[in-house]
Amino acid sequence: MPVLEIENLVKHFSAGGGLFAGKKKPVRAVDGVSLTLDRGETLGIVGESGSGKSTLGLLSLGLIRKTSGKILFLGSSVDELQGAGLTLFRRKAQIVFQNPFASLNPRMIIRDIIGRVLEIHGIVPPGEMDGRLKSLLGEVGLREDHWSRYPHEFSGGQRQRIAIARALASDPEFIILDEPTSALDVSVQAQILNLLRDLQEKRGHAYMFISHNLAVIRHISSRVAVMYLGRIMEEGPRNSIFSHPVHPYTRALLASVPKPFVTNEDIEDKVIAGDIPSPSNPPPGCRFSTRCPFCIPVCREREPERKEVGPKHSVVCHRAEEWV
Amino acid sequence: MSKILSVNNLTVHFHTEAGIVRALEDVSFSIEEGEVLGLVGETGCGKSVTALSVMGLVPVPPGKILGGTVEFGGRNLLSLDSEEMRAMRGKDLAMIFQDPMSSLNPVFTAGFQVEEAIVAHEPGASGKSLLSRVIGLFKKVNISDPEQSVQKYPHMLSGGMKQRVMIAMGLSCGPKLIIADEPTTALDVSIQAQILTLIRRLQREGGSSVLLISHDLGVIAAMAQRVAVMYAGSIVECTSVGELFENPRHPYTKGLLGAIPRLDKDQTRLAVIPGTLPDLLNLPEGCKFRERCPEAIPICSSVSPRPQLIGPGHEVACHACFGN
Repeated sequence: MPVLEIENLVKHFSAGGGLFAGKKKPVRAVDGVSLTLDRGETLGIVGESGSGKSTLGLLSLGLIRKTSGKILFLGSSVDELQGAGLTLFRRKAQIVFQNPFASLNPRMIIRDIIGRVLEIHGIVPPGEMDGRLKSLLGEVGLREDHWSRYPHEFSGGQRQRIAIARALASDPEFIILDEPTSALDVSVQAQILNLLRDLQEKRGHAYMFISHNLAVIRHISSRVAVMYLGRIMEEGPRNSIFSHPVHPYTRALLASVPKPFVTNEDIEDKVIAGDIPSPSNPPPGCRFSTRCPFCIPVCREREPERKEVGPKHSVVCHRAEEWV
Repeated sequence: MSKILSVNNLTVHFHTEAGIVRALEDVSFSIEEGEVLGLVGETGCGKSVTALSVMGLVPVPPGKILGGTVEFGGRNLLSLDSEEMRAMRGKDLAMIFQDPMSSLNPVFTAGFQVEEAIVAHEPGASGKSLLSRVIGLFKKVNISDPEQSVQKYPHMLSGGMKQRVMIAMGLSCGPKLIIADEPTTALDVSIQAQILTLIRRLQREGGSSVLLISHDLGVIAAMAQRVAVMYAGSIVECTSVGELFENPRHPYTKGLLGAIPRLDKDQTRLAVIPGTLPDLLNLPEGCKFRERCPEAIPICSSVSPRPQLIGPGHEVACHACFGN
């Protein structure tokens, strides 16, 4: 049974009209997403700003209310969870946010930040609290004596380690990692990515890793979903997506990343024209049709279906067969 | 080719309550006519202070320029008074900042702000000819519908379009040197590719030189002809872009290249530079990288290495590379 199953999930944010603006169209942040997250795997969610990837993360934890669709945790619907069941879900589903300068309470010492999780969920008897805290700090590469310090005494990378320790404290089944290394320098990012991988090997939890950085997604994920304007355009095993991308958007996205070595390719030939349309006013038909170099009339009229193009590899494109 | 800009032994400190921040120490580099020089490094390494020093925008106090020269067009920019510097800025030297969202004034139209930049240097410009010149600039930077766009306020433009307005403003008086400080960091990868292509096309057509500052080695590889790598306020390696990626010599450069997740190959673990950046308030004696350096030798702890030529056009500041 998958840890998390998402079916046809929709989240529309109503854009408050305000005094002058009048009634606005809702922002269709997530607009019909279906996904599964299996035990112990890393699912990478990649997309540009406004693609709905962070909203998807928050929805998966029940931190914001969905408009429609289904979210199942170990087979049971998250909406229907109450009492002990809900507490258990909260315990087993954790998140690490992008900005460790905002996600840690500046008035609490590290011992309390992490200890609070153990306390609320009654994970260890009070007598064993200190021992567990120390071992958690050790696991994420911090020193035991760090626990009496405040967040401002740490660097960005160390703070992200604290946020990871907090997420690990309740022994989760899955952790949503929402751009966990985007605020960090590349040398620190490498340390955090290695740490995340080591922790998963040891503990066996699943990750949903949300990022705009394709190279990071390739490095960490076992499966990848590419999002664009609230929809998944392509999904499949890491190697198929990166070695044989099918959707024109995926291909264009991969081509437009500047490579950290000297190539003969010119970035100029690979540019996707135009801007990302507003999620409150997505184009009819295929969402990528306004920027797609291979757009044909049907793309502007009808939404493409999801098609299998390889083992566990699916694409949402009218012309998918032509690109395989 | 002749040198358009030459920075020699520039040292800049900031006097803060906590002590003296040694932001730049003995920084030297030059840019040839029509060349793109990439300046790469992590947070706090002094990239932006270098740019601000060239533009004469270091706030004094708390900043203090302790020594060195910035030679541009036969004059030492550091010896100019504020009026003379003001006449150079925007005309001979232009700067494009990282965040186009905050560099434009929200209460004036995009067109007006570009007009303003022109009028500052050519008081006679006005009326229809000025407007058509701005529309021409908007066309040049590929802003869609330039006649309409000049009347738009910044909030009506996307991030990519705002950065195009900033570039139009930078180009308005035909500068000899453009300093682009992380010009695409705030943008999505598909928009980044558009902006990089634009900067390169304009640089080739107009023949201006560019100092391109970025933390992204991919952007540097795609754009620059030569690269200077900075670490903790000093340039540690400077060479052609091909040589830097094929034959990096400084242990920091090697570490940085190993830490980047790659799109083109599988890595199970990323190479990690151990430790953290030194505190600029309290820099160690000798080489600033030695505490994290796998190749450190005894001399590194006492003598700060100065850049030396170790190959044609390849300068490195590292005792281990000098072979003594």
